[in-house]
Amino acid sequence: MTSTAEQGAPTGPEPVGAPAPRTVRWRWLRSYPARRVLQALITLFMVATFNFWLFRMLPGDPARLIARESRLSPEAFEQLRESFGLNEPAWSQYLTYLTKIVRFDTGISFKARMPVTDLLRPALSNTLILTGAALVLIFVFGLAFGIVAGWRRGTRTDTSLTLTALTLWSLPTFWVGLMLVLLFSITLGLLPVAGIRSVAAIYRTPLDEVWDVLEHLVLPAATIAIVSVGSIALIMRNSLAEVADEDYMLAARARGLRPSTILWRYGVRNAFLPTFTLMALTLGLLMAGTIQTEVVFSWPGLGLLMYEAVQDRDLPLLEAAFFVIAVIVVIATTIADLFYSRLDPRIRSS
Amino acid sequence: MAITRRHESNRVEEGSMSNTEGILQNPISRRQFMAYTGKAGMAAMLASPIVAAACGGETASGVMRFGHLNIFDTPNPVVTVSTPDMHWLVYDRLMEFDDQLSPKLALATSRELSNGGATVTYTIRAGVEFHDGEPLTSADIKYSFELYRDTKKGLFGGFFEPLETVEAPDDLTVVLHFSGPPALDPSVGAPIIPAHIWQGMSPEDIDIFGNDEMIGSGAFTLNNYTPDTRLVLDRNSDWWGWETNGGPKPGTLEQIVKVQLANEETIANSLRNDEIDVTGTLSSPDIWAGLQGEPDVVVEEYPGLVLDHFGINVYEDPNNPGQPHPDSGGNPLLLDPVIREAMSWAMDRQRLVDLVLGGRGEKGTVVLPPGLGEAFLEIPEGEQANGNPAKAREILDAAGYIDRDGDGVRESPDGEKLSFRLFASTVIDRLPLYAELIKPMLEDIGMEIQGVFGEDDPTLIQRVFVDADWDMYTWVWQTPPDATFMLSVQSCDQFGNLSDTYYCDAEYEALFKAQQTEGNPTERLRMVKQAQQIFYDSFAYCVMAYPTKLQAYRTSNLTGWPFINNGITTNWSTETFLVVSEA
Repeated sequence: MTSTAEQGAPTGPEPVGAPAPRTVRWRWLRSYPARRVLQALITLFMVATFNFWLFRMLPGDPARLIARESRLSPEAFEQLRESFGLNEPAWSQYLTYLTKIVRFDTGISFKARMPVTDLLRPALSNTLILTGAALVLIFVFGLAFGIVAGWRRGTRTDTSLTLTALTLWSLPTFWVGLMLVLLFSITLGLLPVAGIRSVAAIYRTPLDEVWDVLEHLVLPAATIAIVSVGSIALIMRNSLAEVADEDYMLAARARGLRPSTILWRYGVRNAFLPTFTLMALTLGLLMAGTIQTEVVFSWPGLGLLMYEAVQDRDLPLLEAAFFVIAVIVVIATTIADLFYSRLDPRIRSS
Repeated sequence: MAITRRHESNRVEEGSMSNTEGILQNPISRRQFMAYTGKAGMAAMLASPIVAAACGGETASGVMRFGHLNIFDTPNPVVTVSTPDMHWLVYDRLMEFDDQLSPKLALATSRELSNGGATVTYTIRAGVEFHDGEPLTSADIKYSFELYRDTKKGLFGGFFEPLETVEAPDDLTVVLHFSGPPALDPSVGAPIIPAHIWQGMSPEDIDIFGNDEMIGSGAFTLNNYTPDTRLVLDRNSDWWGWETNGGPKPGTLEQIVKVQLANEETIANSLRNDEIDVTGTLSSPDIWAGLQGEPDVVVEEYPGLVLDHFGINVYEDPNNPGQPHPDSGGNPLLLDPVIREAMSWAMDRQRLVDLVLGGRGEKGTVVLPPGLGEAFLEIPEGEQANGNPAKAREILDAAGYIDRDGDGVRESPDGEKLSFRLFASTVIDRLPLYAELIKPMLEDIGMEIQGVFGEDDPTLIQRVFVDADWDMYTWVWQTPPDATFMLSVQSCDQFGNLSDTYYCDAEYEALFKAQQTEGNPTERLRMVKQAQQIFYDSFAYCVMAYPTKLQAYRTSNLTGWPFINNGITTNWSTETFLVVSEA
């Protein structure tokens, strides 16, 4: 089946100098990628709007949040409102907020008195390092466990791997983190307790610094991986177990193909679709869900920044952090959808 | 169904459990998989220390690694409300608190009083420069103090209220004219900022000034600062205060790295693991006690400048004494001091100290903590309204607060039930604990506590300090090492600002104001103690406890750790950072 756009494409050459028919010029808007990107933009607009009004509904005078103490004169409070634009009507603040978002200006932190982007930038890169490492572990071990269990379904291997996956999935993140610290940092003294770098390290070469970061990365990334690997493993296992009964698998076996060929070319490739969707979702969820891990390990990422911002009621920072996470989740899911539509043409046609 | 493959060994029998079971060779055998995974894991574990020895950073010497829950709110000293120790290391002050938390000369070399103590003349050191090489003169001090006075913001703004004018007759002389002799000279806290950088900024500019270069003239210079993560300060070898430059400070620290760690468990583990050298305050006695016995770790308990209290809404209408203020949302019954006194008698403070603080504190009495030394009013044990529910019942009975309908809750003579709301800040763990323990103590004497309502600080601050819509609440005050701040909290002038009871008493007010400008220390002490007694007898506060400060440090890398009241760090002194040396 071809797409609507392909079916409606003009067959002959356009007359020279003639304007393109309106239907042709705007037809691309009806394509699946365009629609999906448009949906993403609308979602982000709604998130931004929700973000703005949600924080304005919180009890308390924002000027008092900025002052962080009550011993100020009314004039000083009024001046704080002016400095942070809080004396404007709410709708005016909302329009300013939207305008600033488009310009990537996320305002001034109530607490640090610095541009919020200066706070977000290092935190975001630290979180990307952590989630990136965790994702690699999750997918390597999750897919491996899932493939072994799914391919050997009904066996003791399958049972034990499935039980292990379910157990890991149900473990509380902070508890896993604390246990890893207790074992690898306190008892064995192999790995550091907290942070992204040693507190007062001198690096002779850039490699020293990379290694130091890697050492600090092991436990938090392992914590995230341990509690997240189960979901990927179970999805992969079930998916593989399902395709194992498909006719094309039977046909492959009947043709006498090697078991590894059957597994990888016919089994895993077809079973991978739902896992791929979960991978994209996991990326988004991890970005938002590293708070516990970052708090346990004092990993200076977005989660820890948000944790501090909630405690300090730093509204501009919270607004920006939520919006950044929303952007990442929306981008991840949009890319996943677009790739999925490439992998499975039924999506595009529907 | 039978499937025949080329390889005989791959034959599967009909009716087998799985199509893939038995007939196919395992592409990855379980044994192989486990073996490879195990080997890889073992190899990584064994290799890591070797690689770490070959690569990785080495810890610099002469560095103090300070782990705390907060670095500070902002590098901007004009608007900061954080503990100012890091600001004080970067910025000089005319005076400082020493290791006894007493004010003494710092950048100033002399201090002379005139005009009955209302005029203070300072002479400052010559040849002092800011970190950018510009000279520090009296003009910078004049600019700084006028800015603090005019903006009235941040930690130091309030202390400059009595300051009228500042003169800078020459480069090394500053004259401060106060409305009267100041009880606490604000010069002891105010960082001196460089006029050549700050001058010309509007108040709005200063509100949003990140000050990411932190140019001061102090003992340390800013190396780098990542908000909420880490602050690195380098030694300013040219600083006038170092022993090597003829000054009094013997410390040899080359660098201070303050790292923000997210929780106390992590701070303790980092100290245990030699990742930091010193902690901030550990509010959990269990975590603190867990560090006892660790090699090279010293755990200390310091007298604190903290009080945990139970505040009662006594917002009275000044035009109708005995009646609630129209803006008050509190229960009017609490305006009767008898009910408040009964509450104080009902509370077993030793039990609160034991259960909430793990015994690491003292029973509470007056509004100043014992860490303030001679300014603290000692209430004799026998005169303390504490831990006697029978006495509480007796005074309630005598005042006509009796349970008339037999439901276990007393009523006033007008039939109003003694039913109150109790709030607690959820930001500090121990505050809801106090409230949960106090609730049954009050119920035991026939009061109804509608619930312990936990609220975060901004919500509770709005409720108590702004809306006055509460009955009782639990809260913590941390005071500078001077009586004025805590006494000011109960001043009539502080309604809507600092006051958390809306207490206003003419006699107390007169004493509070008089002590602020009293130049005679003995007379001032008498006024301070009398004011404490008046407020204690009002029972607007039931001070529950004075927690001690629990901290710990390592001796493996650094030596010369002092003992300072209110803690070795996050106190009102920078002494620790200036006397500690490499071990």
